[in-house]
Amino acid sequence: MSGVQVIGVTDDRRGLFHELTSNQEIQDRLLQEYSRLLLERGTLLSYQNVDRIAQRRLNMRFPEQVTSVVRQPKAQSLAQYRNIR
Amino acid sequence: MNRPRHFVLTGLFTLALLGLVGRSGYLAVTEREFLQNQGKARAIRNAEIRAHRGVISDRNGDPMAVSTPVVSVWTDPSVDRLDARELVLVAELLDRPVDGLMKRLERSKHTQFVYLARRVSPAIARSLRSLEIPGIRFKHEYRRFYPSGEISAHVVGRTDIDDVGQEGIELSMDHVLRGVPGSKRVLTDRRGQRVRDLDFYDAPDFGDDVELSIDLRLQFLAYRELKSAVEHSGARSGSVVTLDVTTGDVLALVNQPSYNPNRVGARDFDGMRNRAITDLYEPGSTAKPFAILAALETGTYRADTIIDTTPGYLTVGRKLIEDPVNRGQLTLAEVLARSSQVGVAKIALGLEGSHLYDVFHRSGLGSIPATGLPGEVSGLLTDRDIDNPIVRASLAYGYGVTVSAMQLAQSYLTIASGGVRRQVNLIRGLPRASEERVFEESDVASLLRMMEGVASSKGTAPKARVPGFAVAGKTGTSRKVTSGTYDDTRHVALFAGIAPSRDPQVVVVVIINEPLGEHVGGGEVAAPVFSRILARSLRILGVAPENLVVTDRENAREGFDRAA
Repeated sequence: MSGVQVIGVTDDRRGLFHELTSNQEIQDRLLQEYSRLLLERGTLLSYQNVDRIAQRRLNMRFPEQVTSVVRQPKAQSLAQYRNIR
Repeated sequence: MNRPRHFVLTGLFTLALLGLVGRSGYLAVTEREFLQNQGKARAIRNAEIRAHRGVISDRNGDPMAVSTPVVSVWTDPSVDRLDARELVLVAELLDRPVDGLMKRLERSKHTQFVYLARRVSPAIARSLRSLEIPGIRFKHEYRRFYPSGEISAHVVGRTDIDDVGQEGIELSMDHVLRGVPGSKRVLTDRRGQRVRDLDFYDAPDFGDDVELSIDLRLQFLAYRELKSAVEHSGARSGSVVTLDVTTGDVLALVNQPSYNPNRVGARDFDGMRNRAITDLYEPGSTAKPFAILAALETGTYRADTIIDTTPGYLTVGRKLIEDPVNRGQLTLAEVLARSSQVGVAKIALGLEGSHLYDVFHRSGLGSIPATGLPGEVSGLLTDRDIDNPIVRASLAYGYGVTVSAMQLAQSYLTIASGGVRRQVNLIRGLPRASEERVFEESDVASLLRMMEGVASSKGTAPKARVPGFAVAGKTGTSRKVTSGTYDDTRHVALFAGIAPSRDPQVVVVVIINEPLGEHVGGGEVAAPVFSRILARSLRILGVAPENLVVTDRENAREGFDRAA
């Protein structure tokens, strides 16, 4: 009886081991992908890059002096605002 | 037929056979364990599975150091023979000259291990593998990348080729970042080539990530401005430290010169020093606020107390202390704003020596900042001979005491936080030292008002002004000591400041070492750097300008309608 079980368990083990090996390969590949994406994100989001794109491509300019800000009205006053209009 | 000979031969063979069977039976029973181990030792090996090193990121999760899997290609010249055709193929894939590879193999033909290429991308390794050239072997490794490069080289540090931390956070947090390699059992053939994996013993334990308090955007800004200032002034070196007032977080820490940590084997020792924490300077006039604070603590001084600096010089013992011109009667606030040596010396002479020392000490000068970076120095602050008037006066205007940029920032943090001594920290998630109130809130508030005067048109650093924000700070210019005496041609320009001064958010310290040219003072060289860094940093941090007029939209609409 236990002899038969040993055979079964060994077979299970072999299957699981195979799974582990292939999972580990996947992990390796994903890790590689992850670090590549992380680096890519870092480069794209870097201040240098954002700064360059904003100035050259989007023709944006750093505001030298901000003196007034127009604030979004609160929800209630927004409703009032709509009623009036 | 020769019967006797037949029997003799049969007998001999039978005996020999029995002997062999007996021997094998003997070995199988008594020597079993030894022989089995020997067999395994020849065919089964334990192979290491390398563990992934943790990522170092800034406070927003942007990567500062990342490990990516790479493959090293090697061969064993003592058993593997690569023919010319194979070598050409390999060289082509590795993008390396064939004769170079041949020479290398020729040189090391008696060794058992030679790299054909280290750290190639996994894609190249895959195509090499698909060539199925026997004798080409692969070793899986990790390579460290530093996306922010020279900008944060001193903070992050770097690892050696074996992935062990050598400098900076890579060194001091190595125990966290480092993974524990796992092991597996593999079956190998006669040449030691892996045939297949048999069993895993331990899964590799990956290293943990480390998050720093640095904000890469501020780090970049500080680096850019510092670099251009150092280049512009022809200075030897420079450092900038930015601290967050409410938490004590180090938001930026940059030095010039720097180095590129991505280049393997760089040996630029001058560029590798983390000057902001290792290099000591005399703070000069940037120490004056603490002398003023000591005066305020006595209760006999107020911001408008008059100090007579006539005739513009003062002799203490054999030492002459002088201002560039006779400034006459100044208020305490003006002494600070115009950085009068005579004024501060007079105040210091009227103070208890131990009290003056104590104020410096409480602010954090002379004690290790404990950011967790390797190589930190504590600077020098001593109360030796403090009752000697010369020593006392010198201390009040920042001589006879040394500080690093980080330390100066730490002591200004104590002012910015309203008198609470706060631990600076660089690594997030570590337990923090408890805070401690060391100065009276009212004294510090009054000091901050006075320090605003420094950046006024009448102060020493109008160039420190930041559009839209009131800033408080202090300039400093100290002469350097060469061969035992102060050298009048070599200076250190400093500016330490707090912004916005009415609701302090950041502390920035700028140190420019040995600027050349006409202007070598803190107000001319260091203050503009402070201003440019802050103008953008405050905006990135979302600090609202003080003169901001906030209008609701309906009101704005009315305004527009009326205008139309």
